[in-house]
Amino acid sequence: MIALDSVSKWYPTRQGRKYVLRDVTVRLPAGRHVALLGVNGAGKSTLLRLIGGIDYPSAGRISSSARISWPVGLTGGFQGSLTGRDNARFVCQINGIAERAAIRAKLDFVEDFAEIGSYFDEPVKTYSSGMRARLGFALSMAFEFDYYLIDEVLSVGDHGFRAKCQRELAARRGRCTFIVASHNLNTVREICEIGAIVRDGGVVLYPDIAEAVEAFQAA
Amino acid sequence: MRVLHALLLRELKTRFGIYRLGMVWAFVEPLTHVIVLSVIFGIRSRTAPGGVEFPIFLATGIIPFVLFRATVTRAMSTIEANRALYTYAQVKPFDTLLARFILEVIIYTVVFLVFMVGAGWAGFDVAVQDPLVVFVVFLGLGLFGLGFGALACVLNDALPDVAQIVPILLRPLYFISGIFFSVEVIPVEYRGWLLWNPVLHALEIIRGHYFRAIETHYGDPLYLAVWTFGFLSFGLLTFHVYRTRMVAT
Repeated sequence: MIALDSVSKWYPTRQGRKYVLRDVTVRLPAGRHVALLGVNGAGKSTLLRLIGGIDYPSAGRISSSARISWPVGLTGGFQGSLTGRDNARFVCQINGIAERAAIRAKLDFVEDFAEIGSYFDEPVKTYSSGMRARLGFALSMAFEFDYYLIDEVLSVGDHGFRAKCQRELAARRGRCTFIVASHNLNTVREICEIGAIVRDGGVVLYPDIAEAVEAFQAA
Repeated sequence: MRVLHALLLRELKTRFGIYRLGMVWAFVEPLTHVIVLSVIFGIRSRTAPGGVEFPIFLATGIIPFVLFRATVTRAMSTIEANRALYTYAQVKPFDTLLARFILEVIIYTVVFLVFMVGAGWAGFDVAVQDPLVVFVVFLGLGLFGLGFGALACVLNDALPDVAQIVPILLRPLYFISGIFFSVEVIPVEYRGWLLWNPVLHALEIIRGHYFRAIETHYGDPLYLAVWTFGFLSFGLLTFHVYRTRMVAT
């Protein structure tokens, strides 16, 4: 379970604090795939980043003992001057994979999954955005997390790769929990079981995805 | 610990580049300073205080100074340069700060050693009197730079325009830190002013303990220690307090 207690997130602006989230208290149960619904700028991505521990709340607490992924398909976490392989190796190391053989196995998986050929050994800055997305997704899939944070990821890559991503996610559906931020209601309905609407700095949890989608569309 | 290890390897790769030229540059900079200044002051015709050969005298000033400057500037840009890495929740701002510091200390320790071995091989007298003290002060100068740089990093995040002052301040420091002179050659009435500068103290102490022929009457370890611990604790504390604000977008 992931617990948010009185979580607020604001940014200082010249007109005072600009709130993205205000005093949010919510429990995300394990094993129930969650959709975060909201219009652009409602704070879905911010919420994901807070849950992932990448960003910090201005006030309040987020607690969980589960292993939580970084936002899947994230492409900002690469160092451009290093090769895809070096970047992947770094991610292995910080995730506690130390033995040479284990790292090689992960790297082989990433190389295989990303399907970017010899570019895997070229600096990431030479990649196209699609190749970056492939590498990012492959890396996310190389590790087992309890929670996967998915931020509009299903829109990356070409058709073939997208299908492959969906297959891979479907295979993990039974053993981990997805937290999906999206405004594509169709994909969300397919994947998720419960829904949370992020609006005006608040988060409202609905125990049923159909109900959440309905409430979202009604507003 | 494993994060630190991974960061060190990564910094090493990015710092030195694909062709490992970065390591060459780390040597080239102090080396050119030594050569140029030696030429200006007359190769071997003029000796430094105590009859020490001038290039060696210069090197014992320049390399520690470059370490100080590098720890300041690298610490200062640590958040900026590693922003992508904070995407991984395991990587904390302090890890990246520490990794950069450790790498700079390693680089310039190696540069120092290789320079001295090379100079000794070329026929200079590079005998070191008290290597332990030299290294401790060298490290202390690095720690001072780390504290100063951590503070500059916070400033750089909060007020980037104001933080521009840091590299500007570092430039004149080169001329007043005793890289090519010792305090004895300065007229008495100015010595008091110059001795406010803790880096000058560090270089005086390093030379006093490196060369048997040089006695330092001015390098005050306590003065240096107060500056170092003051900046280190204040700098790291400030960095700690502001770490989330710097990483938060």
